[in-house]
Amino acid sequence: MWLALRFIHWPLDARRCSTSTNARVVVAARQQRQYVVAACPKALTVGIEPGMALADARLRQPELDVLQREPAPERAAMARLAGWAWGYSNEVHWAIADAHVECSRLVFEIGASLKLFHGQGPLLSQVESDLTHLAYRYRAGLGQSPQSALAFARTNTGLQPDQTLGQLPIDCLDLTAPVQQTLAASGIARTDALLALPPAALTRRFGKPLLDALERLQGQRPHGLTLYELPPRYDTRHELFGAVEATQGLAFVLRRVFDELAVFLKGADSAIQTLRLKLVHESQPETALILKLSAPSSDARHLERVAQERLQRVCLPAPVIAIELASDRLRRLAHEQGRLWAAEADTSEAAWPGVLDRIRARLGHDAVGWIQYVADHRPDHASRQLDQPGQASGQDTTDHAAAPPRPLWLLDTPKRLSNERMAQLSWVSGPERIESGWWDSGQRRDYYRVLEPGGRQLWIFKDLGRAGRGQTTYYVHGLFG
Amino acid sequence: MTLNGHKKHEKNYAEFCCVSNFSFHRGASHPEELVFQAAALGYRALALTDECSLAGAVRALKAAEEVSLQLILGSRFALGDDVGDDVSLIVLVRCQAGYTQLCRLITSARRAGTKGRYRLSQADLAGHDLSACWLLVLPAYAKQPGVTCHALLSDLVCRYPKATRIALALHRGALDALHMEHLATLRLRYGVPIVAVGDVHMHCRSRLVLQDVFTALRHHTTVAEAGTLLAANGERYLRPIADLADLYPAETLAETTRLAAGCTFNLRDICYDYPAELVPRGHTSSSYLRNLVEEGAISRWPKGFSSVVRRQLEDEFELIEAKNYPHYFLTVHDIVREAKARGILCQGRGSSANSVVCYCLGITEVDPTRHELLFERFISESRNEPPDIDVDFEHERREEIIQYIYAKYGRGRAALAATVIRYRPRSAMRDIGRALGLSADQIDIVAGELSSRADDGTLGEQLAERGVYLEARLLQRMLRLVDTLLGFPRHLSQHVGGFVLSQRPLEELVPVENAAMPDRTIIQWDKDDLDAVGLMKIDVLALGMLSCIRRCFDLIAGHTGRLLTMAGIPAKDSATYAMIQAADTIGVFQIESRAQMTMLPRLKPARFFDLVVEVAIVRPGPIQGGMVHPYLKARENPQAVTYPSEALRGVLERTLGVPIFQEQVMKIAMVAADFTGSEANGLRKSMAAWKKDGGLEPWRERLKSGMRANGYDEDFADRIFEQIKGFGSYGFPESHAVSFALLVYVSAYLKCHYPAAFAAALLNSQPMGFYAPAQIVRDTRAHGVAVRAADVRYSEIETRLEGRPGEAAHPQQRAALRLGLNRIKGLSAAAAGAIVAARGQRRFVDVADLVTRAGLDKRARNALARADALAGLAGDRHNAQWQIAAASVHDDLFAEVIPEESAIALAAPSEGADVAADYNSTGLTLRRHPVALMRAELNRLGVMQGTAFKRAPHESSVHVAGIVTMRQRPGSAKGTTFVTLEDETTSINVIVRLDILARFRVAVLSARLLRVVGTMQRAGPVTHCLAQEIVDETPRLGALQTRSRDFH
Repeated sequence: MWLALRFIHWPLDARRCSTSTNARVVVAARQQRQYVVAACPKALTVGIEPGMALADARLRQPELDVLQREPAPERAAMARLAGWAWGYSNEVHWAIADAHVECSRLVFEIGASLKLFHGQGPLLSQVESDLTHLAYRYRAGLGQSPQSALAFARTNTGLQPDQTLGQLPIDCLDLTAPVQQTLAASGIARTDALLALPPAALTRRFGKPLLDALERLQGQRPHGLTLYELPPRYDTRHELFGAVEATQGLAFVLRRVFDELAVFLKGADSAIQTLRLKLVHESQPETALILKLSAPSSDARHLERVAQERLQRVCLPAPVIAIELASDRLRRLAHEQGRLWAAEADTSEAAWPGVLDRIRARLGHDAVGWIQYVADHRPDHASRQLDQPGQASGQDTTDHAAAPPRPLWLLDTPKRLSNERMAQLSWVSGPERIESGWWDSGQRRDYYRVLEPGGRQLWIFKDLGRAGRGQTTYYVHGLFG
Repeated sequence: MTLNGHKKHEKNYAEFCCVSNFSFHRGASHPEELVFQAAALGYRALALTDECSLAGAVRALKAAEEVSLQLILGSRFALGDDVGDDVSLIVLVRCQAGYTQLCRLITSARRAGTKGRYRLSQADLAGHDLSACWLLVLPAYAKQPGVTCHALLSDLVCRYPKATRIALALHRGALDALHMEHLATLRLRYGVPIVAVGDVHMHCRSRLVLQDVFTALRHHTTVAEAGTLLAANGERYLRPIADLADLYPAETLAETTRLAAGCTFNLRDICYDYPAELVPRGHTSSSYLRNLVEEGAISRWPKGFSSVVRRQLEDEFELIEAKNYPHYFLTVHDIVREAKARGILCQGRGSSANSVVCYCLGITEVDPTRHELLFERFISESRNEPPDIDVDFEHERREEIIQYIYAKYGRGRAALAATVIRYRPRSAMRDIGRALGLSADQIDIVAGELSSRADDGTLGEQLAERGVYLEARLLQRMLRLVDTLLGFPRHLSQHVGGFVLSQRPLEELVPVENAAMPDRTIIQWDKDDLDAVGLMKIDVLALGMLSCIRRCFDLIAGHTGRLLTMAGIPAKDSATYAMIQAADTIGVFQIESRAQMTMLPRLKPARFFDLVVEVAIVRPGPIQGGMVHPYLKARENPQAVTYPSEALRGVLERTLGVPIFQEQVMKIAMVAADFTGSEANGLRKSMAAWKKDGGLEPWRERLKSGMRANGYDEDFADRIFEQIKGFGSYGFPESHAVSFALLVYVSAYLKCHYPAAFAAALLNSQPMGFYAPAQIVRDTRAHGVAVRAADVRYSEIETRLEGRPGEAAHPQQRAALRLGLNRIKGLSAAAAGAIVAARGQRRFVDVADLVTRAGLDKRARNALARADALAGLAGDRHNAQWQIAAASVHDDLFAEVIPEESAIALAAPSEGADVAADYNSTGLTLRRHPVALMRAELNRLGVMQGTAFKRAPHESSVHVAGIVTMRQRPGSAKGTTFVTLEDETTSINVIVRLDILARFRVAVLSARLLRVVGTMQRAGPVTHCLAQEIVDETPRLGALQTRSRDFH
């Protein structure tokens, strides 16, 4: 007995969102036009449905949050859910919608577990409550083969025990579009009519693959689907819809993230001891936390509490756009308890913050930083202070010859020069005119290098943007070595 | 900047390195702006040096003439494959020869690149003679000169020691001193002087913002992320000479005036010759043209012609010879002659119809002496513009003519004119949004809001409502940028059909570059540029109706043996006019649109001139100018029409006091306000362009004062002016309307007397016109013509006429229409041809025979089955599909191996399924109309049939339903949307007012089946349903796919 779950709005449901009042759809491009591939319940109520052109959807709901389809988070979410299904079966197959699969799906054998769950009814209601809790919208079907379960899952009627395969319209079957169209154009509308046709006549028209498919459908041939294998560790990434800012919002999202971890661990019947939690920010280094338990646990709630506590002490540098979780090895509770607990030494993650932490422990956290070059003409925007060494990406080795000379020491706030002091300075070079940044804090300045009587070389400027008719003011901005 | 500063340095500097916005995504000012600014600053000269382009040259020239500034033409090039700006070369034209050299260089660099790009390497340069140019080498700022720079300099110094210079550009950077040192070293090494240049990208400093936007776009990034890719400051503008004197060494500035003095070329001096090979030995171009015209005149008027004609002919000849245009007429004549020889219908449109010469040469089909057409509008003595002859050809065979032109003159001497594609609100918003870092989605929304309305201060709120939150400051900045960017050129595209031909290779006259289409080349100038420098172009245009008429003639000849020609269609045919008056005009040229059809019963055209008026008046211009109602009123009671003066009566009498044509507006200005002929033409041109450029106000004053002087009252003058404004760019010249009216009359005559042939010709010329095949077929059947389905046993590739199935119609027989195989979706032309060819050998006995002999692939087999085209061989659709799915192409060797299979009983499709399949495959059905199938349910809802609706009295409440065949939202209708519904009896026009649209937006704009409760609006036979309630009934259609043609 197989249970098939088809997730019609998977491209949307697979991605966790902060709350928004707007209706939301996921779209994908087909022949240069955008089509809706998944819609939130609110969008469905105004008549938006998958397959509709985005322009038509907008017509029905002008205030619409539109997201592009991204297969990666869909795949990650389905892989997590497969772990959950593992709790019901060790024959699990999953796929997300692509050119060959028309709808994201999860199929697993439940016959062997019926006893464990006290029969089909309780098992199905457990499945339903799990999925409702996770807020995944789905349609279910039961069948003797994965293919027939999927066919039933395509009907719009829900689980109806008295329905037979023969009653299903052929568009419930997983046939290729040309075969489907040719059959429909021949007036063959129901599965029983299709199954009643002489095999030789079918082979002649559609080749062997159709017969194979029909045999699989009826369970007369091995199903041929790739089965899921439990991964050695929990390693996944949750893409968030829209950036999550406040810690409050984050708490909400984390609840969902750990819910999924919980069902996964339950399904996999496993425990973990270390969990690395990474909050990914846009254009800022990610915030990483390592949650280390004193003993392996399968209690995700416990891990969540630890995480929430730790997060209260962390100041987020920027909104969060994704959350990554990576565990150490999954330990099967039944078999591995009592073995090797102490022997596990966590070597992989240990190295990086060690040195930094020691220095910072002495000098204070904020006393240590890294300066990164930023390409910007405005001197005060041309560098950025980082908490940790930046990635090598910002390296700029190309153009040192033409880079303008800059003082080593730049004042945080330029200091105004009195007229008396001005009179003492002698001109070295300039002006260098810098005029940029109109899109945020625009500035227009003439910079000069000047010599102080004491021999120090200063970098001073006159603000052309503010220079009126009256007398010009100069500011010191930096000091050459 | 002070005036003194100007004076002191007056004429001491010439700018040699300056790009305009014709260096797309680089220059941030129009050529005109640059020229005006340079003149205002007292520059001695300005060189426009767009990147590998002369596209802005003519515009700059016109501006320079206005302010008497010396304009030097030139171009800059980045050398090598990477446009790494290591070194740039600036080529400046010194004399005529230099201009040709530059055009050749640009052409070869452009032709080596893909559309919009160019490639020039040092090696390419070696193959070019640049001896008549100045050559400026512009090294990259403050970088040690690299290999490319040295190689270029040593090469140039060796070949052109006197003409080579090193260019110094300073912009107050930190390393100016270092840069000058580098250049000084180069000067010592190569012994060539240094010349100051500004490397100008904009005419004033404030355009820095736009320049930054362009830089970001060019690098596919945003301004905030572009960092040091942006210019460090805004110094790349046209700076006051005093500022330059502070910055540059004096000798480098002095060098500019020396170089400028060496530039003597003026673009006006290029000599352009039309191809001369058409003149036979022993003839001059004029004598040959005269010959041809005299011959033509005899065939046009076999019984001799009047003195009026003779006089006009002589007048035209005189002007054509004086202006040296005979070659031009000969060239157009040759193209038209070739088309006729190939049996391609063609007809001149536009102002050329004013000319008797064109009529005699067969270029136009309208006798200008029979209509009061103004030759002035075509060519005038005072106007220094070449004539513009536009010729329409059958749309499917225009390519033959284009290929003929290329073959005859060679690709070197023929190219298409360019069309400058400019920024419009939507595209401007898109690029600005991208550069400022908005997401694609946000840009869509902002662009959408922006293109439909101007900002009245609430745009920010509106956008916030739609989920786009923009800071007020950012929004303001964006709007300002969009405003500046509007009208900027974006890229060059090819003109729809404007050919430029020349005696000498074109690349000596103007640079030629690649167009997007393979094997098409365009010159770098557009239509206006051509006019200004006296290059002539011929428009080779495509018109679907000509294809349709030619096909119709062929079909009629095949059926009846009668050989019709355009000229041979009998005039004044009362049956034809009766049909037109009844608005029975589906398929007829121009007057088939909804707006035209509602006008016909009121205008009641009864003679040819009425058609000319009809064509000209039912257009946005005259409708907005408020001319339609006065004209209708005047027609009802012609006696009541009064004229402000006798002089104006002469101008307006034909159109009952209402100015309808452009020529009349010109004449009013001449008669009532004493405009000269060329002033009147100036008014016409401003009329066409005022929406774009403004500039109609000076004419208002001129017109009103002129009219006042002649004693017309203020009120009348104002009214005339408003009407002129309403004309906008939509007003028709009468000559154009006459040419079109001729096609209207011919197509109406064919529809009236040969409905079957006309419908077949229309179907075979699709896509064209206003109606889809379903409506054409339906209309044809309503006229009593039998229409038969596409069938592999009988159908040809195209739709044709037949008598008994499969047999050509007998001349005395009423012909039926047999739909062609080309109506079947998914059936390729090759497969259709194979079927017809195989059937020609012998009849098909069954499906297997068909598939084997015609060699049909799976796609073709399925297409035939789904179109029900196998009915005669295999029974209903289901059985046909099942049978043909088993058939396969095999050679005889294996033919016997395929076992016979026992028949399977497949149920026949239901009527609904058949109708749906018909629509899906051929876009129409010959069975019952889909609405007929749901009539019982509609009856229960209280819906009336279309015919009942049409009988309903004015203002009564009505309830209709039908398939949406058309949606229209004309700009002239103040937001009203027109929807055309079709039920099994007729078509119903529905009017949706703005407030109703707001309530039923989704249904109106997206439904395919609509039910409408409303009130009848009746004006004589013209009926409309004014909608009150609208229901989307699309689900009732089930699998039926229908298509509406939507016009916005």
